[in-house]
Amino acid sequence: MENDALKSAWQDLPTPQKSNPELKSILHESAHPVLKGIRRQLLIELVGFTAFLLVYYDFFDGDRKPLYANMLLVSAMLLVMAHNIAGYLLTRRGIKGNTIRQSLEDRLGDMKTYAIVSVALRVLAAACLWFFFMSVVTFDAHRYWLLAVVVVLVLVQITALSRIWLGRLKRMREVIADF
Amino acid sequence: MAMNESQFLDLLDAHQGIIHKICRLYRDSREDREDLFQEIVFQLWKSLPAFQEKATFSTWMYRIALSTAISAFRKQRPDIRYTASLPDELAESHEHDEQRERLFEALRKLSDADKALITLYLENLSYQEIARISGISENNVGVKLNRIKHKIQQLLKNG
Repeated sequence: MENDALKSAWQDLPTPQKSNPELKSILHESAHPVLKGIRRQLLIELVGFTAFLLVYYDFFDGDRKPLYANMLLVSAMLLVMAHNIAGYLLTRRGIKGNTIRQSLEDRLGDMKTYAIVSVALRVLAAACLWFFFMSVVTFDAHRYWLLAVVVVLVLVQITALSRIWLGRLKRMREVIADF
Repeated sequence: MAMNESQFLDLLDAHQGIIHKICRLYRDSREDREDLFQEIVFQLWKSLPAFQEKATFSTWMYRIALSTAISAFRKQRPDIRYTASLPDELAESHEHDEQRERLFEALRKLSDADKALITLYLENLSYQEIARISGISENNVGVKLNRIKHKIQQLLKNG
């Protein structure tokens, strides 16, 4: 295909046509597909965590546990929610820069920050849960084994999260280098 | 003077074809394309206050749309590709459309950066405009486009 044929094939490509009201309906944050998902997740977590804390306080004698243990448990849940809020803020951030290259470099900077925040918040949340259980549970050999399994699972999750972010950052660096 | 929502929607309406083409180039499934379309429109609206009328609307739009297409996270979904045999594209089965499908298949195999440069070229932008939008030198645009066009010819020959 010659260059002119390439251009005419491109320009003749049929494309769907959205009406003006359809375009208007997707203009704002409330319609954004990813943000909508994060908002839904935040709401579910908020309801779930509140329900858990109520149940924990009433059914598992939260009022008899030391104050710092309760604070650690609440902190762990708040950190998980903070992680989602950070993701929401990153996603809703507008495109910056005067060129595609600058925009991508700016985005890479944001991604690096979010990757660090994301992994750090998970580690902190896991640490809070760890200290909480250590403070309220009396351990025997069986429970130590159970704890070891939980620690391994958390480490695997954090390693997987780190690898996902390293992969995303690598991909973005490659795209920028390709320009 | 700042553009209001109604003026923005009119311009968006006039230029939406290119956004659909970018979505089709950067995403495989119809669902992902629709998500990307919404993401691009959202980013255009959000970035509008920074739009300086020194540039044309379309030039500014290419920059935001392509940057969004490259940097937006892709949802993890099974890799199901829509091919020319799917019902929504069956109507386009004559020879001319087949040629366009082959072109699109070849374009989809390019890297994200190459897709952006060739899109601007196919939209009839000059090397100078492509350099201004992409952020690389005019000479580099020429060199890269020659390489990309050669790659497309190879893909079309082998495809």
